Amino acid sequence: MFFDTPIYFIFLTLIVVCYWLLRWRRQNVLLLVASYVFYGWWDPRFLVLIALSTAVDFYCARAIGRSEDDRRRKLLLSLSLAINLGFLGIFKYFNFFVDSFAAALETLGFHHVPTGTLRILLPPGISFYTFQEVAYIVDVYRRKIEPSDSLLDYALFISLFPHLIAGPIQRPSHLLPQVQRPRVFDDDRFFGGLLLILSGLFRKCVVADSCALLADAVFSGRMGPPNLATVAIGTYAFAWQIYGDFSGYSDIARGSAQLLGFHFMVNFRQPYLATSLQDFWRRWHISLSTWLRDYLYIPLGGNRHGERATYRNLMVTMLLGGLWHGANWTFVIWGALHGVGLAVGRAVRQTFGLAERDGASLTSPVAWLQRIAVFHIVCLSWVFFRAQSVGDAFHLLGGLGVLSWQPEYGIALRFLAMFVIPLFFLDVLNEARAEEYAFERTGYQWRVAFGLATMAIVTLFSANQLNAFIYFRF
Amino acid sequence: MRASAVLIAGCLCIVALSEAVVRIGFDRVSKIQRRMADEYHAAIDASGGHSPSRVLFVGNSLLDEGIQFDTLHQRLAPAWDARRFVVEQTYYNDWYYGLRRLFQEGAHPDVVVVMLTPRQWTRDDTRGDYSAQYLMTARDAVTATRALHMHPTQATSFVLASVSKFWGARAELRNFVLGRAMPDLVRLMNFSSVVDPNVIQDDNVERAAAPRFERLRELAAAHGVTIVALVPPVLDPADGTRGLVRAGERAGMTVLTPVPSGAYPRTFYRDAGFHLNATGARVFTDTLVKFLPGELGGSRAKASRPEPALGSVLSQNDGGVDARGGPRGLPARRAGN
Repeated sequence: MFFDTPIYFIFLTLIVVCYWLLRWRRQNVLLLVASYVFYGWWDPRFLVLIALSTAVDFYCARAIGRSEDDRRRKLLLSLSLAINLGFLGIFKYFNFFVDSFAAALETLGFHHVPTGTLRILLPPGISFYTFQEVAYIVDVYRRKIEPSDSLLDYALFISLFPHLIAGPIQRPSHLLPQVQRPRVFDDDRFFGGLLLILSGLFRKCVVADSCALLADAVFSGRMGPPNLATVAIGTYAFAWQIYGDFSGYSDIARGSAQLLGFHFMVNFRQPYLATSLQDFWRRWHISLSTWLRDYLYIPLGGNRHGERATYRNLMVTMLLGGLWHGANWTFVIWGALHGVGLAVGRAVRQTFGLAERDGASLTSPVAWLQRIAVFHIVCLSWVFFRAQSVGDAFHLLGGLGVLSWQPEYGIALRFLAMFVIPLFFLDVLNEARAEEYAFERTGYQWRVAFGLATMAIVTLFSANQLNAFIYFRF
Repeated sequence: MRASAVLIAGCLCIVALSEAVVRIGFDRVSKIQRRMADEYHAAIDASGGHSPSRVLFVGNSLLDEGIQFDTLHQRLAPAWDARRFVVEQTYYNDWYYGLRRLFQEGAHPDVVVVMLTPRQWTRDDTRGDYSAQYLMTARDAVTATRALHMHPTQATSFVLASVSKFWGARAELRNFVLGRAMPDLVRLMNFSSVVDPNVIQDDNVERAAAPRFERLRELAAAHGVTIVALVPPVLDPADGTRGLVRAGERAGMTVLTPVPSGAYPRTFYRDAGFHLNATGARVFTDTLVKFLPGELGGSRAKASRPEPALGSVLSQNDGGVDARGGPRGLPARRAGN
């Protein structure tokens, strides 16, 4: 059930109406059933997996919480992590590692390697809910939170449908207490939720799906052999496609949650206005970047063990962050590029004694030059993210040295600008006013007017195809 | 709460207004929609049993651009009253359900000519929501979701499109608005159009098309209509026409290949060898004018006769074709009974 389809809005409307008519515990039952229906809509078989990993995690966490024996606690933590990451490994990475191993053997001269790869479907959202489960079990182990007493509450925390498939990855300390306490209907939050949903639909259906037409054409070779112009068109188009797509998804998820009285963490803060790669990662997929920081980078040692260890930790974190996105070397290279970029940025700051600044001025020409530079570095990495294979990515990048022009390129750039410029200016506006969505701090009348204008644009300009959200694959 | 209520009510009004605008005005302001609505009504009106005999051509942009229909209409008259119903980006499934609806709504021509490429005959999908609205009845739309194994998400959108004109036509509405904002956008779309890179195999075409031909033939026969397939000539000679002809022989449906694929030069096409340009359309139409009367009559009378030589047709009508002209690849032929 994609967020931008009629069936989702019928489903959401029914749930919201019934939900606010029920008392708190029954609300939780309703939401759990609804979330499992939502998830089973793809394929009911996947429900077994999520139910199993939820149950294992719940009972392990309870046992960890009760135990004072460090060895036993560690054993239970390891068991839970092994099961959760084991599921992820089997369903997402097994084929990748076997194929890569076979390819390596072939390179060494061993031909006809019997791989016996399992051809299995990737359950939607497994990367997201696994990370949420890992965060929960680790937090319980660290005694940062108390384990949940109720399987219903915990199962709902894991499976609450707005975040289930593609996040934002919720922290147990943030979402679990909301599940465990009665929610109170808040007019302003409800209204904000509606506006977030409209904002998300605009980003996804109008901007991302339109940019996807160009990105797909370039990356599939339909715009002809790669050259500077087509690489630029394809890469810019994909950069805005993935931003519109994922930030749109996050907005709809957050908006849907707000209609139910929940609050989800912000996932995007104008990432293409970042003035450094470090700044970019504070603005892009925030729920993942902070998860990687808290559950991988810091446990690895963070920056506490000297410069070399810091660089190593950065690289490991970004490489694994890349691999988290998908079982393909393209994602590993994407992560590596960001790791190298972050390391170089850190080295430059250390060498020249520069301080990392938050929220560079929107009127400073130097800051804009930095933004343009960072945007293009990010775009370079998107080529690997989008390409089907490493070879395809290098083939496309090979076109950077080829100068060629066709009148159709100009049309493509104008088409792109028509959809990207409004989103860009919305981002600048949000940045200047420090708002989550446009006109957040204006009066109701203005916000209603803006919401209706957005709805009219969505109605008129939505690309028609059912384009799955990119992050549904991860 | 008031603000939320106003926003929700406003959004519902926008949706209702969009439905009303599309229902009332879209067919009038959009040239494509208007053309389609006119052709649809003409198709419904095409009842047989009259003199002259009526032939209905259905297909996609290959029919729209590949045949100069006014010329064909004039030159087939008075023996035949030719009409057409073109819906772009349509394939076999669209026309199976499309013809069901046309027959149900009263269309009763003597012959229906379905003009699709072999690849389009074998595709398993449809144009999507647009087809649900413009080519299917609501009941058939539900049946189609099961027959085409649609995912529930896609199926619900499809069924909604069969009852909501706005939902079914929203892609066209967007294209219409974008076309007004950027008149040259169509040039970009043609430039970057999708070409299926998979090689088509005659055996696969035969296997996939034979049961479809049979199904269509039975549908048409149930309404007393003769149905024939017309294969448009594309640049690539290995387009699977042989498989389609064999499928026609197996299923007892006539497959017309007046001009084999690969026979026309590159200069006859406006794109990568798929859609004929004005020159190609003129030559192809001239060929059809000579070819069709006998074939249409023949298909009804279940008789066969040799077709005119393609090379002579080309040289008569175009003052000679370049070195690639003349019969190439599959000979012009008629399959079936």
